[in-house]
Amino acid sequence: MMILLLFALAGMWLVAMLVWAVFTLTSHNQVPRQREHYIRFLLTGISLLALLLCVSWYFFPRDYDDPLDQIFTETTKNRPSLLERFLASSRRDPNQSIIPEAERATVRAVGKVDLTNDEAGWEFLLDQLSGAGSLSDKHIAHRQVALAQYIMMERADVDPDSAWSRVRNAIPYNPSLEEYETRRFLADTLRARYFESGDAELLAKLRKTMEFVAGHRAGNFEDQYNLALAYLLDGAPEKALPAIVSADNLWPTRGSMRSNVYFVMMLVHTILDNDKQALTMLTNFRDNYSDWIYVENYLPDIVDLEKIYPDKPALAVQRGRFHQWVNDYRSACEAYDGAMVHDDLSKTWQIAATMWKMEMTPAVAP
Amino acid sequence: MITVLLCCWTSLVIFLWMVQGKYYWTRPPWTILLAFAGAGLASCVPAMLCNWFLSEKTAFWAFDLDPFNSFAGFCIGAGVSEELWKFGCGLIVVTVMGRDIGDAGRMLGFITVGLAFATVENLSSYSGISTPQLLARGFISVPLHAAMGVIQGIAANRAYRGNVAWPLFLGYGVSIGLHTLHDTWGVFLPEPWVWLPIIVMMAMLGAWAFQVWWRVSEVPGLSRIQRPRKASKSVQEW
Repeated sequence: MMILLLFALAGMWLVAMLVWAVFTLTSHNQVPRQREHYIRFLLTGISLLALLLCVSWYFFPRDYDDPLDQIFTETTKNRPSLLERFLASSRRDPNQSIIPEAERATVRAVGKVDLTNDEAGWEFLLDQLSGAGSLSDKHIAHRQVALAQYIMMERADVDPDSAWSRVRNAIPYNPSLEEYETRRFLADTLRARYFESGDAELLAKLRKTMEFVAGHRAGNFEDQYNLALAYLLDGAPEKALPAIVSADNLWPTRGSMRSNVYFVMMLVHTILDNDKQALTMLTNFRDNYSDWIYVENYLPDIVDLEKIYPDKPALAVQRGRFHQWVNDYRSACEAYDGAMVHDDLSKTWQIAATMWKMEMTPAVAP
Repeated sequence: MITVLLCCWTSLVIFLWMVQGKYYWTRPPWTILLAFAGAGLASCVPAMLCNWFLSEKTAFWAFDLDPFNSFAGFCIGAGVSEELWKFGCGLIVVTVMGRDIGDAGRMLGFITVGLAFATVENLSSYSGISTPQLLARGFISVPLHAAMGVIQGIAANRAYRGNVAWPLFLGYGVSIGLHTLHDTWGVFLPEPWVWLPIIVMMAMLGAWAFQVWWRVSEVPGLSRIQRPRKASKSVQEW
């Protein structure tokens, strides 16, 4: 309605100015003053511009979801302009006020733990976490200690009996959650063993276990994330999407673990051919994945998924982009070329890969 | 600091060269020129708003991948809008305080508006591009804005002398066409050839603007160009 009103106003204004111009040119006995010409010109010009803007707005509205806009800006602009830098300097750090007190307390507590003195260190951590109003109060704190102990058993040759007894000690803290907690630890074990062996049976068991854990009334954001991961690895990306979206919505903190949620969500969108979402997330990846520079940590995951989903060459384009960000141009070119010969690569990803490849060519004259 | 210099050096060089090359018998109207520079700065605000509106609310973003959208973005944003605000702000200065500055003063005024606009445009929108590109803008885009100022100056002079409005509309239309053409060569031509027509166009525009500026008289009836004069009949007879 508003735009139609603007439309009509600009149109009427333009017509009025033109009529005024014609009348003063033809039927004026008195010589007009110079100022009249200027005003007539200005008003006509402004009404013409307003009409053009209204027509553009009404008939050619902006497609807000087009991620290629963002990629183009990223590709063509090497650094922010002076105006953008000035405006950015006056903005607050968006992360500063969002980090909750519980997470800060946890970070402080972990920093004080003396890992050489195992018992005292973990007891101290337990106290700190319990007192800081952590995510699910003392239960979570006990669970974290038990899990740490369990990991130590797996990785640092701690006596398994002692480790498992700690796990069992953590569970009775809330007896009503015993089955949930037991299966949660089972899922951790299955996941660790699956990543070592790649056994499909373990994956099927992991998926079933995670479905129970994430569906439990005590299931939380981490469980949703792990369920999405299990679905993704098991070739069911359409089921992974709601789980990872739920994990993202429930996730209470920022930080490196949240980055993984972002990463997995981006991969799910890519595999589901949601090009706009995937491209947008890739464009913003470095702002949301703090360790993006350590490609060796996450590129193998994409390579694994490329094997699971051979008909999704967009994954290779993403891998190429990550290579490119760390200046590994050879690997990036190989990834782009490999993806672009694939018939399944969508037009959007083809354009993106072409533009990113152009970035790596030697600079041409502007 | 280097970025700031790269953004404004051509504007300063062109302005100083024009002032130094024209004003011989009289002092340049510094106060009014300052007002024109202020008008150039002021014209940036509505022009930036229009460009923002086009890129955020409509499909006509100048750098859109679709050639039609890109062309329309350049035509409306760079052509119609920027030239209107520059011309309009310059005319306001002419109306308020510049009625007696002569043909050269008016023309230099509109050129000053264009140069100030180009400087702010460089600083606000293009200071993030690479140094060679910024250098190239100094040789191509800044002179383009100055040439548009010459066209608008001629139009304002014609309108002033004849007390008519049509030269204003004609000058505005011509400047829209040339500005759009300058910006959209890239849409029509592939990469290796895109710069050739721009350079040729700018060379021709620059040469034309130079000779126009050279011929415009500093004071009506006084010119520094030596023209051959015929001796009067009585002297020939004598």
